[in-house]
Amino acid sequence: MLVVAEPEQLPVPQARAGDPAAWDIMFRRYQLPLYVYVFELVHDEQASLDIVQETFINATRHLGSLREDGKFGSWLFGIAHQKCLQRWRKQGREAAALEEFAAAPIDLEDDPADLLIRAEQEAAVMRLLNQLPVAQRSVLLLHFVEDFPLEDIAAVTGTALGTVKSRLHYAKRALKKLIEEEAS
Amino acid sequence: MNTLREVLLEKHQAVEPKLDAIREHVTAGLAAGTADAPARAKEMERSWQPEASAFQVGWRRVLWSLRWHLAGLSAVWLVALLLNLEHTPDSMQGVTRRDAPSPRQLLAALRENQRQLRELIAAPASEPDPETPKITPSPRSEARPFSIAAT
Repeated sequence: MLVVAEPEQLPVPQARAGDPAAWDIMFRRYQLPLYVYVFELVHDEQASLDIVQETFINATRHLGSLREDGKFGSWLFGIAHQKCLQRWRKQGREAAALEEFAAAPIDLEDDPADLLIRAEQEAAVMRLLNQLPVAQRSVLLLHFVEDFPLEDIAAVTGTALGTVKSRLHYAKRALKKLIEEEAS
Repeated sequence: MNTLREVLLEKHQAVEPKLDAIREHVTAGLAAGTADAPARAKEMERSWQPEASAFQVGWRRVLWSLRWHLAGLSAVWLVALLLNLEHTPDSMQGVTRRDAPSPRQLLAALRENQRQLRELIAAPASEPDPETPKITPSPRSEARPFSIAAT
């Protein structure tokens, strides 16, 4: 079980003062979730590591633009998301990666922890995750990996709240369907 | 049973050492950036020092060759300055200031002056002039008619 610091425990004020130890704590907290998010979008280990490094460097340079210390996590993921977009732009994949889905706002009664996956289902879940369109995958990862509020996910991905709800709904429905099929 | 989060994090846990290396590299760069500030400033100083030292060496050579001339001129100026100080109005002013009466003495002198003035003004009224004849008018009946006496 991974033990990570809660966002409110992060020494953001010390990091603002340029304390390397504070940055170390904050990066340690987010390095793996950030890598997971980036890797599941770009599917390239070296590119993902490069993006994580660039994200860290950008964060140290532009921490002044972070308005609320408690939003450091979503702010960091937002930088990484932009790096992924830049990469896709270079590859000419932006249009395909950012395809829009019909916005259908729904009530989200599910907690990320509710979606439990058995060991034998894991490979299938990962396979399905990779089959999802990038826009849905991105929202799903942010929701399940970091449990960000929908407003934060909208800020990270630069989309409307309704769009985030819609994408998350479709992604979760698809995952649940697969898990039920696997169970039966 | 695991959550999707756990599944994903465990799937990528193998890459953790590489992420640690990246984190350490970035934070080390950050620490070096802050620690380097004085070193960078020194380096910048060093970068312009050769030009400055060449300029300084040139000036030193010129001044060293003229050292006796400059020393002599300085001595002459010093003597002139000392002599000038001896006869400045300032020194005279110092003397006059030293001899000047105190305010109390001034006040006493003023009072004495006023007293003498008052005496001078008051003197004619109190002492009659002995040379001037005193004319006192007599009654008309006592006057002798001048014509009868003449006849």
